Amino acid sequence: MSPTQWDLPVELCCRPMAFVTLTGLDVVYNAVHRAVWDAFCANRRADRVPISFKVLPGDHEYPKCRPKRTSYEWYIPKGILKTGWMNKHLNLVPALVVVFYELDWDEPQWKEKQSECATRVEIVRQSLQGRNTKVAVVLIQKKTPLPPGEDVIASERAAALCNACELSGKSLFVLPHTDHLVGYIIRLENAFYEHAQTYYYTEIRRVKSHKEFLNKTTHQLLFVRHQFKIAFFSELKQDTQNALKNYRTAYNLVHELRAHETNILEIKTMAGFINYKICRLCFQHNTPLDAIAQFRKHIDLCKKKTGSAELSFEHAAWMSKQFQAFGDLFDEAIKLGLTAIQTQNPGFYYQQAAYYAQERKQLAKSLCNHEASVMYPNPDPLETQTGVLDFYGQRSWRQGILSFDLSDPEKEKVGVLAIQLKERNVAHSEVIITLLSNAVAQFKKYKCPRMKSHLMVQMGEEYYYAKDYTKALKLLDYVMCDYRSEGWWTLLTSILTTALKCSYLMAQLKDYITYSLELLGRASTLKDDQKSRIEKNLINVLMNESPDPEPDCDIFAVKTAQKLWADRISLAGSNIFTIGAQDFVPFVQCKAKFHAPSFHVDVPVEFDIYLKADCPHPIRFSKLCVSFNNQEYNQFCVIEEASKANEVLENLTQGKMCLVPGKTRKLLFKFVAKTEDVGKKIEITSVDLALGNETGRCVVLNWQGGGGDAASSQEALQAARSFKRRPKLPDNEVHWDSIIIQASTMIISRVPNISVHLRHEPPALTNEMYCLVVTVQSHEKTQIRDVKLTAGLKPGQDANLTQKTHVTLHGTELCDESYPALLTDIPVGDLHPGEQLEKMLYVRCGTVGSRMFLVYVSYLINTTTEGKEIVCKCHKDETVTIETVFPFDVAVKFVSTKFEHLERVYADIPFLLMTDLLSASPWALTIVSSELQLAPSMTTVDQLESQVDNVVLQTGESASECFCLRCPSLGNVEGGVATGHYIISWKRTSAMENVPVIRTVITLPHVIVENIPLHVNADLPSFGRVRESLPVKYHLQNKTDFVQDVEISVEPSDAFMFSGLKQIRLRILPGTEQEMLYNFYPLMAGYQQLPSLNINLLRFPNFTNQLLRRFIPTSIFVKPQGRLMDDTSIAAA
Amino acid sequence: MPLISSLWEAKANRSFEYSCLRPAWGRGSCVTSGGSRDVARAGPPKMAVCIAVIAKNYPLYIRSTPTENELKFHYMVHTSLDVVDEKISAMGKALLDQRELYLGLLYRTEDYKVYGYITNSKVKFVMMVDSSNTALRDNEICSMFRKLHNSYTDVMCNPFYNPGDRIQSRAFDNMVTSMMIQVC
Repeated sequence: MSPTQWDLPVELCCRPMAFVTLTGLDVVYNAVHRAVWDAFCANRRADRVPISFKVLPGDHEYPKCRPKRTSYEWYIPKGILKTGWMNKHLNLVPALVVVFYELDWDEPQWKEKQSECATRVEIVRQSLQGRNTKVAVVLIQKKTPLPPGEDVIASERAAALCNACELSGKSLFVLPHTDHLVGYIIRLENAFYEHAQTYYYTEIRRVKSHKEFLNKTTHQLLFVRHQFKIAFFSELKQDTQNALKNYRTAYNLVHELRAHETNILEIKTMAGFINYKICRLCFQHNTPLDAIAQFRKHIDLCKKKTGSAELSFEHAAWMSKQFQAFGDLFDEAIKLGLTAIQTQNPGFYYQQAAYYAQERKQLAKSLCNHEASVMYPNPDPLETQTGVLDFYGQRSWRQGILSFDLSDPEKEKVGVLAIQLKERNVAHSEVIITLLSNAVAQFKKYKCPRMKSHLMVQMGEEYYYAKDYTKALKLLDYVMCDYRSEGWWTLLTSILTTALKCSYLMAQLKDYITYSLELLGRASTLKDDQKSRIEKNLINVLMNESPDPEPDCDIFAVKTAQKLWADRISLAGSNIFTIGAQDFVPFVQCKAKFHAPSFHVDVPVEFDIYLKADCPHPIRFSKLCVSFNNQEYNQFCVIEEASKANEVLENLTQGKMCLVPGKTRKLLFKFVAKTEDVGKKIEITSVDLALGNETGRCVVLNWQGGGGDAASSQEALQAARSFKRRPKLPDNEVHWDSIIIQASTMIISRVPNISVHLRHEPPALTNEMYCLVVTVQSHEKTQIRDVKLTAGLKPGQDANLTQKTHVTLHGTELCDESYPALLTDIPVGDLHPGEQLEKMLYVRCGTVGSRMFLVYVSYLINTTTEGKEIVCKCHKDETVTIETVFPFDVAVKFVSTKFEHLERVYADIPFLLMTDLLSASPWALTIVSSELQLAPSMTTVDQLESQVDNVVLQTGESASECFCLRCPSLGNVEGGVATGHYIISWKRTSAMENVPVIRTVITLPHVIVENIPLHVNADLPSFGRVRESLPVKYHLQNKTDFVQDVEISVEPSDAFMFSGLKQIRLRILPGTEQEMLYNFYPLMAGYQQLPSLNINLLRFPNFTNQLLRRFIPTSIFVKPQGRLMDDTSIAAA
Repeated sequence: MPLISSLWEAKANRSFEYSCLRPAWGRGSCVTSGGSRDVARAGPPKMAVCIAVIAKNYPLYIRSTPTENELKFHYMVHTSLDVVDEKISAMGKALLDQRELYLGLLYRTEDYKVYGYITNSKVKFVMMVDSSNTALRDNEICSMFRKLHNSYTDVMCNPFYNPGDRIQSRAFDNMVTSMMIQVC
């Protein structure tokens, strides 16, 4: 019995194909034959017919056919299925024998050749005597045949040849050896395939015909055998539907057999075979659910058929194989395109196979624990004469015996012993691990990470049993973190326990310590006595001694391990192990907490380290050190106690190095921060806790940051949520859960003790040198040094503000673009206690709006902290928001000489420019002077003297000026003509003498200039008097280049009499002037309408009187007559 | 925060109970509450071999009957979470609110069948039943889960219970015991 006894036979697992033998081919020496054979063999893809070919010599001896039984009456079968039967029909007994023979139709020696061919056929027939195997002849010809019917000789000779060979015409083929060999071959094999199918059909009929002779009492086995054969032949015939049907029948028949301990293995074996075939065909037919259902049924039926108790491991092995085979089939089907799902995939079957393999191992362990003295029986009862069994699933020492009674109990006993002893040599773990790793691969594919982890744990445990501790540890270590992160402590503890055993047996120091640390911790669900044992071992290891062996370990392995541990002690290697706590849950917990989120540099930085042990006994650590991001502080935060190695357990409850289980230990640390670290963050990068000392072995537990391990974040979350009231503790103790890690703190500068005041008169006026007085007064006890002032626009505001704001210390000159917006580090010198200094700052703001200004005063001072002299840099800042406003508004307007508002001015005609300056400043302004700079296109009529020199304007007051201007004709200018600039020089009235005067330039608006054809102006006195002559002279100027015809008329008025031309028509030459003189004689006093002058230009119909009235007065004030007389009459009255 | 979530849990469960009368809740495998109440009153079928309550990923409560093989049940409960995760992710966000709380059969092994149930606050209940026990149908399992859910809600309503802590309620324990196979 080979170790692969449980493997399914190859002939069962393969796909049955029709078997055809080819004879008469010399594939070694004949190139033509070789080509023919290659064409048959090569490229057997799925589209070729399923035939397996074999080349055999013409005189090959086929298996002999046993003589036909005429009656089954006395026949008693010895078993269900012969071991050789499937192979016989797959590889030995052909469905068709093909005789190849080289013969052309025009062969000269036809007769001889024909008879030789007939002889060959006869020889083949001889060796196939009794079988239904078909025979066919293929003639290999050199010439291409003519189309059928045309070659008379061919058809004649073919008929003759058939006759001679006793062949039907359908079994004679011609194979011309030409270019299209493959095409001919494919046609040939299709014909062979038909013959083969006929053969298998007759075989099925033949087997079926036996059925009627069988009876239910003695031939039960034969029912199964025949049904199986029919199904198998159907498969060979490629009739898979019928094959499946027959296999199903066979399966039912197997379970109808009377089962007994002696034949149960045979029944199970056959049931397994048939089940395999059914499942395979179901997958092939793409009905996976049928396959699964069949398999379930199969397992349910066979699960309980354990068979002999002494060999119960055989049942487990068989079950395991069933699951594995189904898993393989399932997997194969998936590779061919079937889709599996998470809950139904091959992994489950491999997993179950592994379970049975484990059961097999357990059973084998209990059943095969023979003494070493028990010898393997001789002669070997498992040996058979042929080396193989006659029937599947029978015992070699009683083959073919159907009786349920054991004829020879002694022989049976020896046989069982032999099997048991063989079983002992099986590498069970290897089998289990293979199955598990198959399952792992499947579960990985179907998104089952936890199932995968679980199986890996099992693999790890199996490696442990197989004493491959390295691999075991690797696997366990790999999955441990999954269970840890999900918080399944029971499972984690179980894994850790196994891992601890592995590390013990290999004397892996670091692993051993790590697992011990975690098994002692709060994540471990071990009982206290276990924990005590582990703690004791851990302390032993730390004192450079060997630990006690872990329980339930293999005795031999323990012996090896003890030797290894002894070697470890003598080895003088590195004995310090650093273990990162964040990856697991050690039995010491650590939390670091700064007392405040920030410390002033002149105050010592204080923080606490809280430690808590979860182990059952108090433990003493040897050293605690804290590391910071600035390593210079590390030296201040170390606790070390020189203790001897053997004191680890002694003197327990004393000293701060000793951790009492469950109690929180608080350790206070204090150091003075460096002045360079002002404004920086001080962070605890790690906390190292050393257990044991350098003379023995030392474990350094390393917490990253301010403590915390793999489980603490979840615990902190739970604690934060909890409403539970915690019992009151004595003052110096705290609840572990209530401590919140604070691993960093800020160092901030010392609190300044100076005052900074700002004095100014807001708002600022645009472009003025705004004065800001800064007063700094020291309130420090000692002298302060190196006082520096930084002042100006506060950074971080609108970038445009920086461009338009300039700061200087010198107010006597106007600052320009080159001045900065912020003056930095202006040294101001030292200040004695109580001393005060003042600094003037001038700001020029080019735009309106609000700005934030910053005044920042820094200084140095010497102080003493914790007996250490340090130089502190202090600073104080003030910010102020200053609004900038326009000092005044300037309004400009154009009016005619009559002070009438002008939309546009007329060329060459004087007009007035009026400026109006309205103070908007809350402070009084002094207008130093004003100036009108005219554009070249403008000319002045009289002097341009400033009329507002040294005028003081209070808020809301305004100052106006008026200038008479004229604009020469320029032609038509688009958008008007520039007027010029108006420049105002001003300062605050309150400003000091040396403060510069600010010149504000105002661009005057453009004005539209229009030409007119005729300009009229009138010379008349400023007033008239009743009944006194009032001479009026009108000047009419022709402004055009043409001679103008002018019609003039004067309309009478009630208030005046007048003399002069009432209506006239005249001509005015270009550029000349015509004067019209009138004498008006006022009749009424008061503001009187003058007789209106109507002018009509014949060339310019648009020239209207409305326009004209712009230039000439329409009314005049007429004083009453004789005021003096009136006065006297009043006096008389 | 914990108070709100527990109240919500309570409310969700209540509304579930009451709305069972409405036809909208009658769909799916969990049918109307009338029948299941009767079952509950008639004494629950004592069939489960293992009952577990799992928050997020870690266990809040696990009880299994044949205590000597406890580890195996822990592993099985743990691995069944794979299927729960997959079922939830397959449902998608939109369906999550109106889904059936009962997840049905998660998977089955040769010996056991594993059923799942998920509350509105994503707390999972896992129940294991002997494979050979064919008397238990989806209906009974579902009503057992609902009883469990009610009892869990009571635990949550306890102001001294901190959601996320292991369940140590005696009432809950008794409830679970009543649903377990009694080993004698």
